Amino acid sequence: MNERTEHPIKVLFRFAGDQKGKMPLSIALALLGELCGMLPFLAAAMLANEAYAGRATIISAGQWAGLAAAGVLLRTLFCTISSARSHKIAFTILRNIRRAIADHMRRVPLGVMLETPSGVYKTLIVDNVGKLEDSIAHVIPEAPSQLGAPAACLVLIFLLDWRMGLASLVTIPLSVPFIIGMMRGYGEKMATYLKAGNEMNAALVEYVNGIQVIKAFGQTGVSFGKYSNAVKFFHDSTLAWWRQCWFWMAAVKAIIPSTMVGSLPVGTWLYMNGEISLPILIACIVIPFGFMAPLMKLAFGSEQLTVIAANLRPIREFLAIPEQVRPTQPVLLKSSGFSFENVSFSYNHSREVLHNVSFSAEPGKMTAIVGPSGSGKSTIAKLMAGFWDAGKGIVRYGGVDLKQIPFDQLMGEISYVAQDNFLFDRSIRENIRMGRPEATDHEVEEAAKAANCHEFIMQLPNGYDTPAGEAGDRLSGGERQRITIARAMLKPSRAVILDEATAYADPQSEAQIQEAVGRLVQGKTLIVVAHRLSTIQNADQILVVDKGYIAASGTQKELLDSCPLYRRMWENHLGAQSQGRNRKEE
Amino acid sequence: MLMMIKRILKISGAYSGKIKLGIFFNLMKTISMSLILIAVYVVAENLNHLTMNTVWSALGIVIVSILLRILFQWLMDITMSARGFDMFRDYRLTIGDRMRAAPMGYFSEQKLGSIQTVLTSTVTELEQYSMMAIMDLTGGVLMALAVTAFFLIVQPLFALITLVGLGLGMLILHIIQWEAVKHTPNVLAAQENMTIQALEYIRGISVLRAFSQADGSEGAVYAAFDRKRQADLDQEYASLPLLKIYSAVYKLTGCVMMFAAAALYVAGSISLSYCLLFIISSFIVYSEMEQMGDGAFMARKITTELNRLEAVTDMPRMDTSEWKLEPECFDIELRDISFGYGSRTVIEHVSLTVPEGTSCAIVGPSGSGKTTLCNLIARFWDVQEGKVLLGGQDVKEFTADSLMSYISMVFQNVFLFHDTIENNIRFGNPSATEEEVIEAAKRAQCHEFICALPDGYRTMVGEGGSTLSGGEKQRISIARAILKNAPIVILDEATSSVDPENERELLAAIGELTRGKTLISIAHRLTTVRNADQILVIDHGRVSQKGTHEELIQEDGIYQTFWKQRETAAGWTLNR
Repeated sequence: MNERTEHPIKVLFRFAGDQKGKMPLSIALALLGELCGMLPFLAAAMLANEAYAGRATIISAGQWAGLAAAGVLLRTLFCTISSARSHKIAFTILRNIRRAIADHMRRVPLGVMLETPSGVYKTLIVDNVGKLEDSIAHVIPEAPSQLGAPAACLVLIFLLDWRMGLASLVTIPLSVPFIIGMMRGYGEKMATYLKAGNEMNAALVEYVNGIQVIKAFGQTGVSFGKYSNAVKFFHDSTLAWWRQCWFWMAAVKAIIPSTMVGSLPVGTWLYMNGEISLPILIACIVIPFGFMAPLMKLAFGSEQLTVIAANLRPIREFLAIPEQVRPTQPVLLKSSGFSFENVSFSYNHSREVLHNVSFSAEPGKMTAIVGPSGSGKSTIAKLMAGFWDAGKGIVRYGGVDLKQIPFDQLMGEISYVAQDNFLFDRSIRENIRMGRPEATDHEVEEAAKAANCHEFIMQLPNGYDTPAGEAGDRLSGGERQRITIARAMLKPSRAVILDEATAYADPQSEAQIQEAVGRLVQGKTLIVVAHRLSTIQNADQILVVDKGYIAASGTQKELLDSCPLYRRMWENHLGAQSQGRNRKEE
Repeated sequence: MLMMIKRILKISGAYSGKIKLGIFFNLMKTISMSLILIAVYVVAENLNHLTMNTVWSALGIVIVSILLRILFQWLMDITMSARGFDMFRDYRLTIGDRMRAAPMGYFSEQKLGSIQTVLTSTVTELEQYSMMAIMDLTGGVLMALAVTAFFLIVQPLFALITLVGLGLGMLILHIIQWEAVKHTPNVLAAQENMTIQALEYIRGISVLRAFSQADGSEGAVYAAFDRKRQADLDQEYASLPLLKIYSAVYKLTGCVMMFAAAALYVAGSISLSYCLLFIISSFIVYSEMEQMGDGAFMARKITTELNRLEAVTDMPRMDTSEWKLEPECFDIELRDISFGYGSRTVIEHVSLTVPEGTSCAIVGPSGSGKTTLCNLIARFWDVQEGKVLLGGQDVKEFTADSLMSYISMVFQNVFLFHDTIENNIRFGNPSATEEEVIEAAKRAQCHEFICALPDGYRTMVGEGGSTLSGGEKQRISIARAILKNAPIVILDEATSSVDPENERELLAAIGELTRGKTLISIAHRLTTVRNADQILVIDHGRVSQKGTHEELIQEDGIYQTFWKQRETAAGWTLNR
């Protein structure tokens, strides 16, 4: 089954969960309601007939009007129940889509989540589904009624007299020439419209986002000129199109609901010739009022299907990302060492970034990974942490293929520390305790002390019980980062991966972060990705990565002797340390 | 609903006359629609002696009704709907124009985000729906009133019945809106809660997974989804029966009319033809009104969008003066300045003099006011107390643009336009020749990598173009600033780590940019700080220390601690 061509409504109902079977009843109720809604038409016809025949009395008038009113009330009752039920289905579908996205986020490779700004996924889960809501909440719940009413009307009118049925449908062929007029050159004009719209939006976005640069370079005049040209072009081309359409649209809007243009003269003629009786004439004149309005709404609703399909697309694309599959039973890990065996890797099937990489990181030792930007060194660290699965070859931890180690077990073994300083909106104590939920308050505080956090935490209004969100403004980036290090410290992991962890996100507290990291790594297998080479000069093993290959490996001393690339990097490093803006000497 | 129409009329300014004319055409349209009742009457009147003449005249009247309806709909579109497009074009232009005059500091990331949303989505929605809403909302009422007026001539009792029905319907519509308003805060709170929880879940997902917290935040985000669903359902359950009752009221009024028609006929008050006419009209009077239930939703949507639009169009204006600043020298002086955002004071009584051609490094803990101080010099905001002087002249008395022409700012986050590299650099000085652009690129250490790109200087930047690394983008922005060649440079030194090679090139580029200029920098690098002609240490918005490196390193204070920590950090070696 081709996923792309599947009907959007069908896709939606896959998310209906326990509400899946409830739609037919909702439709049945709506149909029942709409059938009751036919009663007023019949009552009116009968009453008119009695009046014409001179048989009408106050009582019979009351009876027929009462029947009509009963029909209206029953219709209201059934349609309300139907609509309430289908709204429940619609909102359940929306919630279940959100759940499915959230669930999937836990199972896709973590790299997928990390390489995209969080705003993108927020948009997916909140806004994209929200836009679905706008369409679904009105399309699904009202569709049964909107389909039911015209269907009931049409059946009834054709049962009464097929010629009257045809006569009242005559407005549809009558409007065809105008629909054709409206659609003339549609494809071409739509393309212009979309293009003008896209160009305008691009100009708007660039102007808004670039406003600081625009002002900084005194180019407001020129840039605003571009902006206003795009706005004007969009306006002029859109308006020109509408101007052409309005006449035809007005005609279509006027003709389609004017069913009397057929039913009144034809009905009168048929009645005149004794072909139909008066009640049928009257019924057939009033019944069409019940179907053109909902049919036009339904036509509008069908446009919503395109909107639904468009908003479903990014959601389905995300849900189609394969999940990482892991066993659930813990395996025996022989050590805390890593090894790469002929590992190749590419992001999203694009250019390969690692080629045939093999090495091993001994348990209890420090392995540093260095190289120019874009060499693939951070990718190696992320593969070790299980953020991605190796494309070719095997990544092992403790002698076992990472793909064979349950997530929870691997996560218990490894601490991955980056510049990330994310805190949850709960107390600082709980944030640290996430490292090991069974840790005592005392242990939490010990970890905080080791991570150089204790002092500033105690200065917060409620100390460890201050919610991180509330403390948000008071905490600097470096302080937040140290809290995350305390969290990692609490976790009894055997290996630590530092991915640019100490790069100076917060220059003022860099030294304290470094001290905390120094304590964190004591006695563990250590993997370090670092730009600043002085940091890792004492490593047991340094891997020099270049263009996705391991160019050399060894200790600092060995590499300075044997590896020209490393030597150059070391000299650059020393140079950058002392280089500066030395204007005094100029 | 009337409120919404009033609001649209209010913001429509010069176009409100045309919109009112459009509403008049709408009235004419509904009267044309009611003409079909005359056709019905003609048939009813001749029911006992029908001829082809009757058939033809009924057909004729219906056709005239349709033709008039087309005419007035079209007139309404070319007057009112067309002005809708003009109106929102003007809004787009106004917002863009106001952005030119607003202070730089006004444009926080969040603010820019909401301006962008308003320009791309809010205005588009309003453009599509606001005129349509006016048409639909007025159409229903006008139709009912037109028929009522017709009844008033024929039989006042029917006019009374239709008016009562109309009144009841409007009352229920009012209750619907009131219910909606009652539930809106609940829905909005659930929406906001869901946004917060979703963001926390997404941003924390690596932590959640790393610490195997299976039910921690997932529980919270699930609860947020449930709460949103329940809030939506509660709102629907409250308004849904009302909506159905709303259309039922009109249908029930129709039943009353039906009864009254027959009763009056039986009582001999009206003729048979009127009786038949009234029975048939009972289905027509409210045919347009019944559609208005949806209008309540549309009105709610438009009201929210109007709120958003209004929140953005109010922008502070900075320039009150037309004068261009033309200082004789480029000495910068801050004379006892204070500044705060709202009630929060950020800068307190700071004084500083940076003579032309010298450099000043600003040092201090995060959140101490370093960035704000630089922004005040560039006049992102106006100071609340004291003065900022350039060459002895108060910058407040001149245009912000003219001040900006003497300053180059190097921001940490770089913005490049979706254009060629050449044009991005030339943005610094639109009249520069190609040679000058290349020269600037060479000085900013860009020439080499630009030449290696497939289209060289004509390579497009951004989507669909070449992907440049962060360091490369940074250097292009420096080339742009070099081309501008402003006498003052304000530099926010990068704190993010770059690899040594990139760092060296970046430093060389900055060296070129700042050579011989007056330089104010937020400094993190030891060498930048040490080589500065003067160092300003600020803490909690106040000047804590001021002097040269040699002087300050001797004093007990923030600077000494800062220096020691930075030295330790720079030389740090990890040992297991």
